[in-house]
Formats: sequence, C-alpha cells, structure tokens
Amino acid sequence: MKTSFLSLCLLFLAACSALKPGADPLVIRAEQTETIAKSTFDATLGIDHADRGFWRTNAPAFHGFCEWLRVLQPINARGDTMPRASAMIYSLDVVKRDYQVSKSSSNAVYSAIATLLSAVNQATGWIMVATNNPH
Amino acid sequence: MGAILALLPGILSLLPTIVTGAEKIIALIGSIRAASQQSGEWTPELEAAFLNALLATKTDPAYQSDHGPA
Repeated sequence: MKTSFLSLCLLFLAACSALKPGADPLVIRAEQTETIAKSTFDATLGIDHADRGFWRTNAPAFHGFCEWLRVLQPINARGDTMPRASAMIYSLDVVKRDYQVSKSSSNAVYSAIATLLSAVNQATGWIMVATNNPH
Repeated sequence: MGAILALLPGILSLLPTIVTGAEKIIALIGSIRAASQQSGEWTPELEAAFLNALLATKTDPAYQSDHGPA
C-alpha cells in the first residue's frame, strides 16, 4: 500500500525531459545516476543517523550496511579519502570526465553506472525496510 | 488530474505521520524528479558544486562511522 502510494507520488512528480541538441545521453545518464545516488545515500544514512542505537539493536543488518557506506575509501593517488557512499559516486564522475575527454570508452561509463546502481538499489531496498510501519 | 495534483501537498504533509524518515523520502523523490528533468550536461559550475557536496560528506555527521573518522 505504502509502496504503491510512493510510486503514485513519483508518477505525478516525475516527468522526463527532452535532451538539448548536442548533449551526450550517456553523460546525462551518468549525471542523473550520480544525483539520485547522492540523494539515496543521504536518505539512507540520514534515517540511520537519526537513531543509530535503535537501528543497531533492532535492524543490525541495516545499520551494518550504513556503516559499510561510511567506511573511508581512498579516491586518488594522493591518499585523499571519502566515505564509501561518496567515493563510489566520485568514481563514476571520474570515469564520466575521462569519457568526456575521450580517455575512456563508453563501456567503462556503463560499467561504472551499473556498479553504482547496484549499491543504490541495495540502499533503496533498505529504505523500504527501515521506513515500513509495522503497525 | 488537476484535482489530484492540488491534493498532493496535503497528502505529502501527512507522510510524516505515516512512515519513519518521510521527510528524507520526500527529498529523495524531489531529487529523482529534478534528475529526470535534466536535459543538458552539467556546466562546470554545477560539476564543481556537486563535487564540493561530495567532499562535504566527509564531515557530515550522518556519514561518520560509529567509531568516528578513521
């Protein structure tokens, strides 16, 4: 019921737009994926952060997934780090920028999008579990 | 259709009483809507703003591990 309601909201709120002439659809798909991934991770980690003790006790797998997203990961050879959630998005952005200057193939962009989407799908699944009202 | 759209703000305002983290879900839906309406590639300014937002997560409390920054 709740899922249907949210899907309905999404249906009314979302409307796809035509691309501008010259815009690369793959680049735009990568950027759309990055935007949605950032929001999904924000929502997932925000829900967990609102009451970490509760989730740690009552939904350890959800909290464990959030902790996995929070682990710092190196993002370049200089040793700079970001939480894994952001590092995965950053990684797609790097591949996208390389593709834009023709340093990487479109296959690399597709692979990076698929990798990020798999994490986003997991996060979305956990949002559905964590926001489910059992009453 | 118009009547349903007019009801949406009221329905959305009820969401916080229905589910946990509803305001975050609403923000997520808004973001998906914005992303779906993207028609051109990011400008350098948008790209820089997005990367800055990613960098800022390093100090965002929600992104900090239970054990604090490594």
